[in-house]
Amino acid sequence: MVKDAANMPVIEFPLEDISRLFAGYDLDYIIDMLPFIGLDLEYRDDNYIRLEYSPNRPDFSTFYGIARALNGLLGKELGIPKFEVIKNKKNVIRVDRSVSNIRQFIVGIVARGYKLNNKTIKQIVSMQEDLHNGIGRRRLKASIGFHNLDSIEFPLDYSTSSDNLSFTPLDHHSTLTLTEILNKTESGKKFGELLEGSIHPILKDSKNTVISFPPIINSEFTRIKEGVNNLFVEVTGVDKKTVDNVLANIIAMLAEIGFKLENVAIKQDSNNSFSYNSNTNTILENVKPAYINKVLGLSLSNEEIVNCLRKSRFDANVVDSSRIDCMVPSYRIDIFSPIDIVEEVAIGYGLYNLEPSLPEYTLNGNRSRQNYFFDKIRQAMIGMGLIENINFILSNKDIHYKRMKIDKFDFFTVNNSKSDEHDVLRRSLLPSLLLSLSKNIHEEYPQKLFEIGEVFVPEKDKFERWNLCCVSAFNGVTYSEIKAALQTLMEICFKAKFETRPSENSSFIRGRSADIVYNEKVIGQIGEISPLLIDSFKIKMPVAAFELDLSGLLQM
Amino acid sequence: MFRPEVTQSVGIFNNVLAWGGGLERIAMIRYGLSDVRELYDNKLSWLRMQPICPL
Repeated sequence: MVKDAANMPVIEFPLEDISRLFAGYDLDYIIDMLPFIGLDLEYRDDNYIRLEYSPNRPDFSTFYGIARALNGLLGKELGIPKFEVIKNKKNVIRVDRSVSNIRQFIVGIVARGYKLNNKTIKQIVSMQEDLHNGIGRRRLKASIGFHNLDSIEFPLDYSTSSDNLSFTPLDHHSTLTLTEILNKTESGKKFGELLEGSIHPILKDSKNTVISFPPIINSEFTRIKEGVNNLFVEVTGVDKKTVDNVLANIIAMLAEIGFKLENVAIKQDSNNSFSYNSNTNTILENVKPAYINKVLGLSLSNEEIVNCLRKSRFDANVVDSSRIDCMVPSYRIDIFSPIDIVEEVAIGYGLYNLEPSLPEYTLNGNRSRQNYFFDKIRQAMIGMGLIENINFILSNKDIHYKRMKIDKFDFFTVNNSKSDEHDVLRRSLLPSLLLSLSKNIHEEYPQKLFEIGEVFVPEKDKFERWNLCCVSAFNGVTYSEIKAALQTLMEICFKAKFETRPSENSSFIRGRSADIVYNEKVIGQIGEISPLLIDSFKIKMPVAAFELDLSGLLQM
Repeated sequence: MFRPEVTQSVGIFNNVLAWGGGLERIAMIRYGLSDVRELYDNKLSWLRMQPICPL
């Protein structure tokens, strides 16, 4: 299945097919309209365009689905498309109760009377892949088998079989046992884990020919190719809703291709009842027009709402002035609640028709008190000739622990981190600033940097703090120089009296290291960086630094 | 616009609109950068040459 860099499904739409499907319209006009039904234009050249769509719209995996939607918006085809499915009593699948432990649900459809060519097969495969990978959840919730109808005979039996059953799987020339299929074929290796144990679901026809081994692989015998006229499609899976949604999309596609569709009845062996495709359109009742208008900011009448929905290929019925019942097409698996109806009204109205308006209320944003405060610090630091640095909060052990030569490892860490680069939350700013210095050893000195940022210290109380850190690097930098910067800052910004008390700190040179004390509390450290760290960060220049916790000062 | 199921589950019953722009991308256009990582390299040589970006 084709996906783009964002991992969203894409479809490549040849320009000649666009012109053919929308004959009578300007090609550029059609291409310009496509985003308004929800398709993103990713690429265009002289031959084709590439469109990105959302995985909850598998109907966009074929040109038919795109045309169906756009024709609605253009006004060419309105309301729910009708897909006629007739009853044929011969089309029966008998379900043995043993499958209920492994892959319980099965539905099917018969499609007659259209000669397949390479183009249609390509469309069918495109939808099959989309459904398998998207809502099918990599075939677990649902998987699809397309078969040449003329090679099988009803009634079919959906049952389980032991490992040693053999048949010729698709693309192979000789028979393999189920075990061999699971171990040796590509599909077997990829999807085998969806089947536990050693009993496996098997679909056979009345002549005891194996048709399919869901969700793994079909039989070579029922292969569809150019020239095949009649199809049998089965959908199996562990989730009933998904299986039904998958079939609904396939029915819509096969009907648009031009096949005549026939029902397939499912007969559970536990009772005598037959169930047919529950492939009906659903109804979302009692949607309030007032709600629609409120969310969209419009004042549509009930009739206008109905018209918009019809352009989205829905049908709607005005129950009374405050209630509309909406008919949702069977292939629309993404409609859950009234807000989805609101969106369809907007699309039918034409998103290009929505006029931007200014908000009713004029509220002003402003700097937070904290940021107002931080900006004052920034001004002071920049005024002293320092450059502001902003580094990642989520960093790594190498920079914040190993290179800092700390004894105790006391950090918040990421569980199962996917990357070595981001596995701890920083508990101080200094290491990242030293790293910045280490990246600029060929640049001019002096280099003076500061950072105001969040740090996370694993303590019970207040583990999230805002720190200020300042580093100064040049030949001849001293403790006095950095203390002067600290003093200037404290006097200009905080008019605060503080003290430095000599202390020992593994980051600083012994004798050139002190605690910063304010209001009798130690709020930070200051000193000349130890040669061990200069070396582990490969800085090659003396560095002096201080770092302090701003929360105590912020209380002012 | 947020689906009501999402906002109502945390007690918000008004319509909620969310939007955002990539400031990094605007910065890249403004400064002629081709790789967004250049904004995170912390290269003084580049930063010292940049003109002030008025708000």
